[in-house]
Amino acid sequence: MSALGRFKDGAAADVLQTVLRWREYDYRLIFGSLTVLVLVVFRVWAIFLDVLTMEVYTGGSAGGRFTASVARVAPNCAQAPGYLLGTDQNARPLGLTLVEATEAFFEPALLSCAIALVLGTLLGAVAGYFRGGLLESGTKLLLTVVASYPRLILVIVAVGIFVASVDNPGGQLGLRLAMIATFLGLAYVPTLAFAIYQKVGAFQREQFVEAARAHGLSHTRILGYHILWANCLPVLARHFFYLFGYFILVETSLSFLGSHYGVPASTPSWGNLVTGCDLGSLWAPAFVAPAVCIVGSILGLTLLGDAIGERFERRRG
Amino acid sequence: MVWLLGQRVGHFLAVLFLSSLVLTLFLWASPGSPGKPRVDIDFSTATVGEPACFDRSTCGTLASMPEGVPSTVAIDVGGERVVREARFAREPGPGFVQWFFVGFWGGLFQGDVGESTAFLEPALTVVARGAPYTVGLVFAALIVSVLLALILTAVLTWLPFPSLRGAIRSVLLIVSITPVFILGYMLQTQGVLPFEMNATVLAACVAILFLGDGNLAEILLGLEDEVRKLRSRDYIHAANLRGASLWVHMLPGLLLPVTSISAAKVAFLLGSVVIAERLFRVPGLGEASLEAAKEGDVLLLLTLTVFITGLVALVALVRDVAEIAIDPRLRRGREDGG
Amino acid sequence: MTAEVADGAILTARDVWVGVEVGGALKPIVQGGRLTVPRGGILGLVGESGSGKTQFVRNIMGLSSLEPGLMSGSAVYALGDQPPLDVLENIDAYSPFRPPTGDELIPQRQRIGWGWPLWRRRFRKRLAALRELGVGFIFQNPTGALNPYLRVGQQLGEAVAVARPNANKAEIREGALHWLSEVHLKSSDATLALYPHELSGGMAQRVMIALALAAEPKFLVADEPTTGLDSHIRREIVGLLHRILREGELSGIVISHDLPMIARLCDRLAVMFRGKVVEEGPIAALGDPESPNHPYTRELKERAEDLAKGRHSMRREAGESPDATGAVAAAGCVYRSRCLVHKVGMVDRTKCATEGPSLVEVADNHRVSCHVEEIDVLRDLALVSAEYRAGEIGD
Repeated sequence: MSALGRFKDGAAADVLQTVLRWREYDYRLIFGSLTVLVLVVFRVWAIFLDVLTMEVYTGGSAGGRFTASVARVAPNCAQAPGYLLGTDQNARPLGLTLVEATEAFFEPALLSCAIALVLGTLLGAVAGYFRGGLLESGTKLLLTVVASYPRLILVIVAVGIFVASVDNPGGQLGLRLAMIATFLGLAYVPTLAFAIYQKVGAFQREQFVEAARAHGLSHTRILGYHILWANCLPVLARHFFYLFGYFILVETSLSFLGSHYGVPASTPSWGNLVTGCDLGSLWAPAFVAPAVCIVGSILGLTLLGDAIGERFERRRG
Repeated sequence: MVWLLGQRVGHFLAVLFLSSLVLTLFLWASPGSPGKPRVDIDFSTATVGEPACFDRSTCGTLASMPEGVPSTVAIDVGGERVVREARFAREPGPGFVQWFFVGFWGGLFQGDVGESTAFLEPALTVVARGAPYTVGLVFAALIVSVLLALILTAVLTWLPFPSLRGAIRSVLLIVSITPVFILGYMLQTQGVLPFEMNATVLAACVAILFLGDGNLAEILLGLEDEVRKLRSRDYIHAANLRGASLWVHMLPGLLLPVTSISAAKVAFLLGSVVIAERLFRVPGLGEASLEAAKEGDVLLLLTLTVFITGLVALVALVRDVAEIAIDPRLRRGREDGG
Repeated sequence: MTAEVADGAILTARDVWVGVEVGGALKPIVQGGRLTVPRGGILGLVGESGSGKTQFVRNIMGLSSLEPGLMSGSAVYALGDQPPLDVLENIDAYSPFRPPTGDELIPQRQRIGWGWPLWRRRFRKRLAALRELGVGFIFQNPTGALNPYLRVGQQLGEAVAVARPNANKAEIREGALHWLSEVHLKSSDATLALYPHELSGGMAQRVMIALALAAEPKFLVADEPTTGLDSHIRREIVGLLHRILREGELSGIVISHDLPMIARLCDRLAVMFRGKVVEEGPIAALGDPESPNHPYTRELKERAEDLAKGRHSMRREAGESPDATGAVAAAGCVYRSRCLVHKVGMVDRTKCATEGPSLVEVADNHRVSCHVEEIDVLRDLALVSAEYRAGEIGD
């Protein structure tokens, strides 16, 4: 049954059809968009909680971000009256801690995506546009080299460098997360760059590039506007969501591994919430809630990326 | 053909060398230059006036020998005299080129790159000890996931009800996208505990590896796509019509994407294996890298990374060779004017 | 519902519906397709690209890669001494789609019966039985139809081995070399050792013909055998096909939009436009100026004449985008926007707009799908066309 049925006549149908190319229910688009909405709402709520308890954004070790701004409710890891999900291992309400935990990954993920998108687009576009020279082969070699490091290994190397370079590795959580984000972004560059490389290469072969050059358009304008902006935005959007989901996976895995790698146990993160409580059964909210958050957000973001890719990427022929 | 193979081997060596170079450059260029090896000054042979450092940014010439309790030492840093405890005094250390080529790569060929500060034994020994576990786990997981994906593809292709196919795919996607650590933790709560290295524990590792972090879902997706494209190819239809054996015709067309996907997945699995090893306390390379990261043991990290990237590049080389062997279009064909 | 079998026909296809799902919507490719191939005769299937001719034949031979592909109809093969085989037997009872009835324009979904997977199995078995009887197909794109990973000799040898199961290696090689010479290729081991990517377009096409023949079929289909080839190679391939089809006493179908080739090779003609068969009759309908024709056939003839005389065909009339291809699900006659008869007003225009015409017998074993009331209009189309272009009639 088409969702379009009810809107068959009228402007709404036109908008839906042309802008969103909505023809049938696409559950992936719905679920993915809901996920993004929930994540943003959680993050805003967490910021609100921080502000409400007068925590100052210093990014430093004592006070400010990354200290939980939610009051304790005794006992821990148990059902507490008035709290739907009970309490976590630090005796705080689980629901609010889940919301707080978004601060561990939200901004670093954005940083990671920004680095990957900027560098990936640059390298991929340059290699795809200026073909047949040292620039293309050199860039491809560089990308292959970076691609041969497993991404998680690069992240662990980042942690190692951090520990070795910084005087108080336990304290500077913001910096550590930023370093992890940077390295993950760099590790993702080859994937994005190859995608852009293929797209730009396909367009570069089209005759309109020759025609545009004959008309006197500069390389920058042709590449920047006509090829990238007009055609490659869906690719970028798709990889943005993939990488965001992947960052959540990496951050929660590292936090699970322990305080030396991700966030320390006192700071809320979905990763350390999963294993925080010693549980009798797997159905207890203390395990299910963070696990659902993790799986749900990664799933939603990945599906959204898929849906955007399928809907908006122009297929050749 | 020999030229093509030589090209591929050359590419492999280039990637191997460059990956170690890029990483080492990064390590040296990072603040504090953690890549540079630290060598304590041996005061029994040291003399005043020789180069010395307190840390990476405070370097100059040795101005005095250790004296006092606690023994302190003075170093002339650009005209200024800096006094600190003697135990912080170090030699400036080798230059980058000398260390990278002679110290590291030279050491690799000779079997000794230096000592790991996290394990207090030669770095290469740590790598040699952990390699069999990690390589074993990764390849076992790879083989299982490819086989399972092939079986699932066959099942899904045969299944005539689209909604059932969609349901199976959705369930697989959700289970597969679960991170490895959650799957491992679930197994542990069900009693699979890492108290000793037995077959169950290793099997559990392989299970969460091939399934989690989206591994199975991605392999299945890629394979399904390839098989669908393959089955719609005209030459498969033609062979079917002739009554010829479909296997002979589909095998090369299937082998290429399988090797391609496998090669891509090895890098991915080498990342996930870190978590699996920590969960089940398998003494492999992932566990070693975690220890190295915790202690800031950059030398061991470098050695491990070089080994791991070498493995990834080697698998890529095997894939390239397989492609050349299977696909005649990649080999230099005879010029045919026909 | 028992399928209709025409007298003396080797293939009788009736009411065949083929569709593809695109973005959740069902697009019909062939609507109510109808074909009759006489035993010992060759049918020429003509139409422009997007008319559905390839998909029609591929689907009733089991070579389809569309989803859902076949939806309903019947296709009865009467090859050899076996009883007639309807490969689409009972499809209507189990198929996820049923043909449109009443005011409906496209096939409608129905519940997938639990028998559908079983039907599919039986369908594949029937196709296998069909292949046993000897059926060959020459694909449109030779590079796609040859396995790029195997040598020519391997693929030819395989076809020979299937036709002669007890042959040994030497005999298989002999057979392969024989078929190479049949298609006028150099009959040598060097040719057998070539890979498909090392063949030129014409060579690849001949290898494909050899492959189809090596299975020793009784029924052969050639799908656009000369598209994309140079004109001198095209002449050779047409000559080759003529010899093969005549000498081998094969029945078959030639699909093409090249009218002169169809006129040379075929005995019967079927014309398709946008998924519908609009004319079915003897090949004389193409060449004989006295023969009644569907207006579309007339249009095709005129374009072929222009091409032969070197005149650039500018006969596209206003009101129709030249890129419009593919079947349409619309009420009335799909051809009316281009139809000459419709333009000059010699037919009831309201009928054309509301009712899809059915095939009407205009001569012996010759059917045309048109609402026109006087058959003579269809006979005199050349005259009508000349008068129209001169501006003497029409609006």
